[in-house]
Amino acid sequence: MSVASLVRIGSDAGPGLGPLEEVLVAEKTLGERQERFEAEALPLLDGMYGAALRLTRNPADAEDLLQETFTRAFAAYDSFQPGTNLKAWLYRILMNTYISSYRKAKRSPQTVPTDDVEPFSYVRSIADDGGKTPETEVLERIPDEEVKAALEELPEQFRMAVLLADVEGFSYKEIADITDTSIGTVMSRLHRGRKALQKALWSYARERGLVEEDKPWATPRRTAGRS
Amino acid sequence: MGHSETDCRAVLESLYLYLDGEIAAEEVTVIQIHLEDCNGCLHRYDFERDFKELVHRKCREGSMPANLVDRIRTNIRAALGE
Repeated sequence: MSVASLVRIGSDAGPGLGPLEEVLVAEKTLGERQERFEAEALPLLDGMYGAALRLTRNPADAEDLLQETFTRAFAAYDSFQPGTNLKAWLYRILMNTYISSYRKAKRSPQTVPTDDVEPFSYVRSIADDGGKTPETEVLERIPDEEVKAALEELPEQFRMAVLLADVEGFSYKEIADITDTSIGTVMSRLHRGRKALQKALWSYARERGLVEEDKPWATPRRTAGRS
Repeated sequence: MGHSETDCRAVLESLYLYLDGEIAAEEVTVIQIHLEDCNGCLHRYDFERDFKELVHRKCREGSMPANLVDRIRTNIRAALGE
């Protein structure tokens, strides 16, 4: 006799289910949850690997983080409302798991200086045909690994905002939900995170001689005596 | 010049909202008209647009390790057995 038919018999028996029937009903529900989870949530795992890697900064921790995230997500899957945003729901668990379990004990700085984070000047006289700007052409020469490293160096809140918006493509509202903050805070973190990332990449380009110091379009706008 | 520095400041303040697709259609039109008329803001717009695209492209990862999904499946089945 199959589990399903046992459950049906159990249900027909009315409210007074015996211990055996209760166990079988629970197993059936769990089995359904597993099927739904594997069909709906697991396909999103692959796309989350990059985010896990940017958060933990190394492959072994990224894999552990994803394993714990999906174990927690499965345990909580009954609380997920079908038809709402599953991807954002999973990223929220990813962020919470990262914060509670994987964040380095040594806290990274939570702020970036605001007075010198405009790395580029914007020369009005450049005739623009809608193509790549000279600044972008410089940044294109920076290897992918260096751009990833620069993103990973950002203070956590700024790193999360840039990662979720620019790499993962979430909306402000989704990022606010995922990181448990307001849309205004998301906008502020995103602005400062992008500027800090530009500044870091700009410093890298200058150190590697990808750009000459005295190029007019390439000078930092407000260095204010800082390096 | 059909615009003032105040126009430029307003446009630059909304630039990320515009690039991120977070503003209403009417405001989009105001910004587009300004960008057609102002090389400075257009250059800044082009740079920020390219930068967003560059971060997206250069920070993506290839596929995850092949056995990760199997390990997660095993974890889930272990949770079922508890």
